[in-house]
Amino acid sequence: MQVYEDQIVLPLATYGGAGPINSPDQRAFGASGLYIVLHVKTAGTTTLALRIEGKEPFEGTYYQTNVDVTVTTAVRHMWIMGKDLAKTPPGEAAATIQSAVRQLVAIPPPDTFRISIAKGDTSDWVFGVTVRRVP
Amino acid sequence: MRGGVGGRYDEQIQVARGVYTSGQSGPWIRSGPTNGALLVVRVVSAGTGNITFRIQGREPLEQTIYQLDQSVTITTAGTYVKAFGSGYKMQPQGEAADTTHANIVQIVGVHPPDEWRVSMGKSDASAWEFGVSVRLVN
Repeated sequence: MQVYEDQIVLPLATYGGAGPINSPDQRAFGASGLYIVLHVKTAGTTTLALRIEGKEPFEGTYYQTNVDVTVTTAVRHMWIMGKDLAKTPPGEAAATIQSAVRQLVAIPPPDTFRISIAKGDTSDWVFGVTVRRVP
Repeated sequence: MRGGVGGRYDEQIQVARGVYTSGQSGPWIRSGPTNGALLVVRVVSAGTGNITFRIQGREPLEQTIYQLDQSVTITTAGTYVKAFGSGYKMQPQGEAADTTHANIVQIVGVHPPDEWRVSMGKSDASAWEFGVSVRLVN
């Protein structure tokens, strides 16, 4: 099972309307972390926010795991979930990873989760989302 | 054991969804090679008083049970999540503020003991409907 390779969870496409746009449910498959890329090809107006939502097994409701960080520009934006994460590791004077890493979320991935993209308005955005499971 | 459905790292129901008037504990979990867990409590309906969400260890000499974490007190329906294991944190180094949502009610930043379980305490005899699941992580 090739679970550690990038998987496209939302294809590169034009997304209009109010949103949110939700990926299909994903399984962690033993992963201890996630590497998520939101590739914005064409920005709309206002903002997008990427949410990593767990799905609890009793009623199937989704719960948000990360606080919203909004993006506005047409570049690659990254979210990393897992343990031992640091933008500025001890001993380093400043961040050692690029600012396109929007957020580090230092908890284990939920067993079942989805990526939800919240939109600030109904304008068209062109984007896609990939997920890499980290062993 | 890694990947696939039905493995050690898949989510396991510890306390089945049900209506409870007294405290409930999950079965004992052997940590083995795992280094942490994601614990999820789903409260479908709340009674009066509160329930407490806690992690208990068991020592092998006299099988005594000890509480490992600080109890989280729950008074309303919703989803409550604890991250358990060394290396997890609300605010990773270099982040300006907490990056986890309020649904993540606690980070217990130590390695799990050899034997542990999730225990739900209750403050009174009112009926609460809830369930508890655990996903182990390497």
